[in-house]
Amino acid sequence: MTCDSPIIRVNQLEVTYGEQVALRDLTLEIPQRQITALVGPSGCGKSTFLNTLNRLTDLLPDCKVSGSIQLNDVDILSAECDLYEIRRRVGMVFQKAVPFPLSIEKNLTLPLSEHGLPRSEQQKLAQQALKDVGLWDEVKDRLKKPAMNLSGGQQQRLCIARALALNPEVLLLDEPCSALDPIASRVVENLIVSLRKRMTIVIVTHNLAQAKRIANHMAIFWIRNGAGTVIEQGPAAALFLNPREAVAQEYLSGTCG
Amino acid sequence: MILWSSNRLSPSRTDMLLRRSLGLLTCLAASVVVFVIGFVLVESLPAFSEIELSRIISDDTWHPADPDNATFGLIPMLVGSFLVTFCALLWAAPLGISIAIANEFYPSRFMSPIVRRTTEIMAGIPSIVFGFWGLTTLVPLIANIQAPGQSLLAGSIVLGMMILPTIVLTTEQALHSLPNELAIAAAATGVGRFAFLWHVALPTCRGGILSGVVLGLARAIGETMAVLMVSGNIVQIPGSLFDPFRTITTNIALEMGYATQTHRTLLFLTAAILIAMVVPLMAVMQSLNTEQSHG
Repeated sequence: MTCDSPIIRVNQLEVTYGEQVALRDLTLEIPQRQITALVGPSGCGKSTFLNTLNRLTDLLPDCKVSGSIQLNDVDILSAECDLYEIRRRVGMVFQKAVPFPLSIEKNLTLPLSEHGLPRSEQQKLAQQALKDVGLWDEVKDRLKKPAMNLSGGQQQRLCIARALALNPEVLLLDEPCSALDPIASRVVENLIVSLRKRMTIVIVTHNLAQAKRIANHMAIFWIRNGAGTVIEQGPAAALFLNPREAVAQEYLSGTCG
Repeated sequence: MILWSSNRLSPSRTDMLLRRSLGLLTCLAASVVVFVIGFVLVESLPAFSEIELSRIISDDTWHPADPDNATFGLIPMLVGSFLVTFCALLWAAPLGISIAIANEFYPSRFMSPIVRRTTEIMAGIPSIVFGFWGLTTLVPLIANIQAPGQSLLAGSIVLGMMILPTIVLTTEQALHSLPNELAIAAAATGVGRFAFLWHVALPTCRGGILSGVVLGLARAIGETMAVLMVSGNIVQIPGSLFDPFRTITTNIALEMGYATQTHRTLLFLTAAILIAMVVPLMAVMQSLNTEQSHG
């Protein structure tokens, strides 16, 4: 199934770790400025897929990726493409909040300075990013204090701010709420929804209720022939109402997976 | 950290038995240290009454056994100990830290295992072997530049080689303890290897790296045999890298065999001074390690 104006087109993607095939024959389109939820049981390659979208798979020594991933007109997987550029355009937030063990401010300015922005610009963008994630009022008096002293929810919002400061076109979120308490989780979820106007969001979640609440588009991952792949994709509302595949139906209704 | 000290957690009989016996063994181990230090202090006490103690500072020379005109100047040897340690650290610390960084952050499939294995072997080589190598290889080389060869330079090269593995291994361990997620998060935001190393890894591991340097420093101050073989053992403040010198540790090793009366007492005093220098270093290292683990 296709969608209007996709920003990312994945075609025949295959990812292997040594002998083991993690993803095979994965074809998927991710619509621009919408929230795409990736759902499915554990171990079917959702996080691996997310990692291919900004080439974090490069960090794994025996990981091989083939197929194609088009981000607008750039092939992310091609050897010529500029990794720094890709990682500026495609931001990522992880399940566990991983602030750098530096000051709150430095957490935001370090990537900015790496991307060659002047110092005055860095502080402006950092401040804006903190405002975007609703953290500014909470931390404006202690920007020089260690980020590690923040609460779990605040740390996760700081990590989102760190990604936002680079003004990416696509934001990847790998179960960003699963380590948070319900209240902090709610704050982060609202934040994600509010970002939809500005950028394309791809979120891996195990929380189907969350997917239902926030996703416009959805892809269901499943294991087929020993490897993960997308078995069904489309507008979230339609998919929840009327999945074609029997396993998808069972998964979405909560009877399996 | 779980509160293992809580009694309620382990009320069983075996636990209590284990607790008691471990406590006893701990006391035994600790008491050895207390006895050693106590013994040294007791043996050095007579020095306070036998000579005017200020003479260890004011005397220029060290002739404690001279029956007519004994002198007790310890300063040249203290300076010797300090200088050789300092010079050893001066090259071994930056090199050791650099090797560890290279191993962790810029590993090469071919070189890194070799460097790592070599470092581990170096750490296990007895000091006398380093000294022997210094005496037969290094000293003649230095003598070619400027006689006699047995010199501050030889001492600091040999000492540096001995503390190098300590610094490499501790630094590597500190860098290795950084969570993988941090490096991944850095990569995901486009922060490159060098920026991650410089802005994140090194500041975070500062405590661990420094504690490695302090550990090396303590080992260097206490080292005796290797230095004894390459330092020339002349009691003087070395004027250049090529001058022979004597450290307080080698002084004890050289003279303990025949020292009597005041001379012997003074050697114990030297040992006490050595302890007084090393114990604060260990305390510093301890606090650095605590700082590291509390991040």
